[in-house]
Amino acid sequence: MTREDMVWIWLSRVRGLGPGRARQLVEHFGGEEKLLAASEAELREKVGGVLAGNIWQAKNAEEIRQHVRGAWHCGQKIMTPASPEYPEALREIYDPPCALYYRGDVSLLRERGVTLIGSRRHTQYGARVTAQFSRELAQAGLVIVSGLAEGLGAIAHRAALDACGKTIAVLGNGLDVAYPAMLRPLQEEIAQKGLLLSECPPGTRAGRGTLLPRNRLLAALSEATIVTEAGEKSGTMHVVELAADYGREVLAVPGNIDSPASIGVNRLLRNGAAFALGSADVLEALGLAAEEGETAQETARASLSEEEKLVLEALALEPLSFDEIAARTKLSVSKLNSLLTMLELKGIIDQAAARVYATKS
Amino acid sequence: MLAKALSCGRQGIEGYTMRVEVDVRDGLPEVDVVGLPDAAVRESRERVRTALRNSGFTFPAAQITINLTPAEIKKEGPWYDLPIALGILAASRQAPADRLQQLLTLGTLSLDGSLGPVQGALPMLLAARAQGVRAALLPEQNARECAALSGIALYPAQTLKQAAAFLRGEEEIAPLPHLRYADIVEDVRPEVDLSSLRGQLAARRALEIAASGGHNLLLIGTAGSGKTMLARCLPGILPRMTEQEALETTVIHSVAGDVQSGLLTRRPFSAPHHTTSAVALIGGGRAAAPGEISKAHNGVLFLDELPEFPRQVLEALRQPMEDGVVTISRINARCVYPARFQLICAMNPCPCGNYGSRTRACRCTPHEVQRYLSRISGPLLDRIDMVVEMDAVEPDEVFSREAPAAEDSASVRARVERVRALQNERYKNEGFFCNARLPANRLEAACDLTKEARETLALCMKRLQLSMRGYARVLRIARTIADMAGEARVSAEHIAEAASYRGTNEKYWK
Repeated sequence: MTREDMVWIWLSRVRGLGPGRARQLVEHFGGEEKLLAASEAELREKVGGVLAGNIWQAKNAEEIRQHVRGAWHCGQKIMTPASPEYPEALREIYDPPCALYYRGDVSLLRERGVTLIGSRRHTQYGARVTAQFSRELAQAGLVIVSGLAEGLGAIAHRAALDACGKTIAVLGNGLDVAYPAMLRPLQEEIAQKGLLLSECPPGTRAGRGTLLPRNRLLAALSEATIVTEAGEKSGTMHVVELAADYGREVLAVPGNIDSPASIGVNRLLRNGAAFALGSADVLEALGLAAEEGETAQETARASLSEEEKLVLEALALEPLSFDEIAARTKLSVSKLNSLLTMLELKGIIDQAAARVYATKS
Repeated sequence: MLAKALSCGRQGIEGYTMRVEVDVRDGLPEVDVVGLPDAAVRESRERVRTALRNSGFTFPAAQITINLTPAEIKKEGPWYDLPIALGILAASRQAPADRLQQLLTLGTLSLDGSLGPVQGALPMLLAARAQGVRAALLPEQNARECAALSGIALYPAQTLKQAAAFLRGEEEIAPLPHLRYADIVEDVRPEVDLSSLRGQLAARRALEIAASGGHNLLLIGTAGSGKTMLARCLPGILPRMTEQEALETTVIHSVAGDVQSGLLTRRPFSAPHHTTSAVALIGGGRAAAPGEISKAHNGVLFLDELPEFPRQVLEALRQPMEDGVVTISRINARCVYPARFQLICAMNPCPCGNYGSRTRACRCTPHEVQRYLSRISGPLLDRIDMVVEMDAVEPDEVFSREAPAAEDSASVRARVERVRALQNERYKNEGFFCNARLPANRLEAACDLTKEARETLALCMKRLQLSMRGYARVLRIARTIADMAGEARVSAEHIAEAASYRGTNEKYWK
């Protein structure tokens, strides 16, 4: 922990001083060392009486050391704009966090990543598509950044981990707090295999005041933001606005026009967001070429029985219910049952809803 | 003079024969009842006194002592009215005493002398028959439930006067014609026929598998998807009850006092509401009465809206489901009731009921869905073999003319009976009788997997993340499916189909 780091942690702990103002302050005095040397009078001149008083009061080396030790005891480390591991992407924005608490593999911040977000309330379509994008992009070597929210966020992390990919979760609460509590196991797994990141000191509970600033990190950290499903009013749309402000790519996955869960994404597309019809679109937007050649899917398809092909033909156009497939293929119920399970096991079809089957693209 | 009348009593469903001893001698007029009578037995003094007078007999103005023997058993219920009344008649020389010692009598009396029905007549007569009683006089209302008993002559009586005349030999009562079980079971029609269920091909197939292997079934579906309707079809496709099963079930219903139409030949279908208490479900109360699970013995217990049941009620189900019997202990009674039922449960997939529906949007958060699902405990889920998802059938699908006429219950039942016969043969002398009860250590041997089946099973375990319990369940269902196909070995196809009933389960409860 250098003196520069200590200055930033000091600033992060001043009541009433936001990250934007803190950065200005450091720049005004011409560096962390100069700020440390400044008198209370000089501070008052710059930021006014009350805030200067707060800053002066928080200037307590012992208390700051204790805070760092406390975080360390919770298994968390701290990085600041003065640290070499601090992500460059965050330095570009107006208000980079003064202190970032983290657990896990910090080298992930140096790799190329995409932010994958969607709403908490989602349809099964949303879940399927999110998992698919996350899996394929993770397999392509990108880091999946998301917010570890219940719903699509958690699905994105889960799919990335399951594909042995890398993932970063940016939290709006202390890293030792699990919100919602049912995601605690996933949070722990990300700490082990990926990276947990938060601006909040240990013990902070999630709230509006912490979740909204978190969104700017989600938007800024990666090169592109992909929205898989979002309704009309959603925190997801806030992230998208910020991403556009920061000049990041925004891609959206279209949904049915009559689906309330897709109103947000469809509106984004109308307003000029790029279409994400598959992971290839995302890779292309990042200037990466999608891998050519036969996918595992195609290999699997090549070795199908006549009956399995019959089922796939029926499913070619749209997802169908069990009864509909039975009516079209004229197969017996028991035969169809086992065929559908086999196709599911081979990863060629998926259950889109209760007993409704769809082909995987 | 002393007279002895043969009668019987019961504790729970266990009947026993006993004697009512009546002694009439000169002295201060009074009536004493001894031999651990409960309030209903003691009150019978007043009913008997009035009924005797109103039937034209004299009630002796003498010292009357009534003893119910064996004296150590607590006597409950009002059915000693008739033996007491006849005993008094015999002891006061208004009727012959000798015949009363051979003829078992039971029945309640009303003040005008007419006979009323008895709760649990069937188990009492079964016990009496086992102890060598060859003739019984009983109220006419109980005649139907007992008519299938052979080896004992049953004389139905309407009034005390008729009963006394029969005892004296003044009036003949025709004994009940014995009903052969095979005759009455022949024309049993199911309450709800499968042919009235439209569409839902997958669910129909699942129901047939469940019936064939005795598997417990959980139906998950949106409101209006036909879960209840499907569940009600299950008793109709289960094999016909054997005479033994019919007797066992009727005995329980007889004790519960709800037998009106004679021997139960239809498998019972018990559907307690979700506000039902644990005692009402399992059995109990002061008199240790049978609960809904015992009334569903040899039949189907249907729990609709499963997550709405209080947890403690569902937990109470676990032990009886394992053992097939439930033991109820109370201060003044300890009863063992059989409770071997097939469990079928239904629930919505989430609080709003639309999760997973293709046509309607669910507005529950994942957290709400999780909380709703977690109301059902893991141990209970472990006892449910099959999970089937249902979605509402579109109206145009229901009324479409192309839809082939659905199969009726009778033809499905014929297939189920054949598959059950196969299992009975295989599990002969093993202590269980259907695939659902196949213990884990017998699984591999009973299933005899082909090589492809093994590979598919391994793939299922990996892809569907099956637990060891899930693995056992898939094997059991696959065994049933193979039995239905009439194949000795379980093939890959059977495993794949079986996994489709388990895969959904793993989807909801990770």
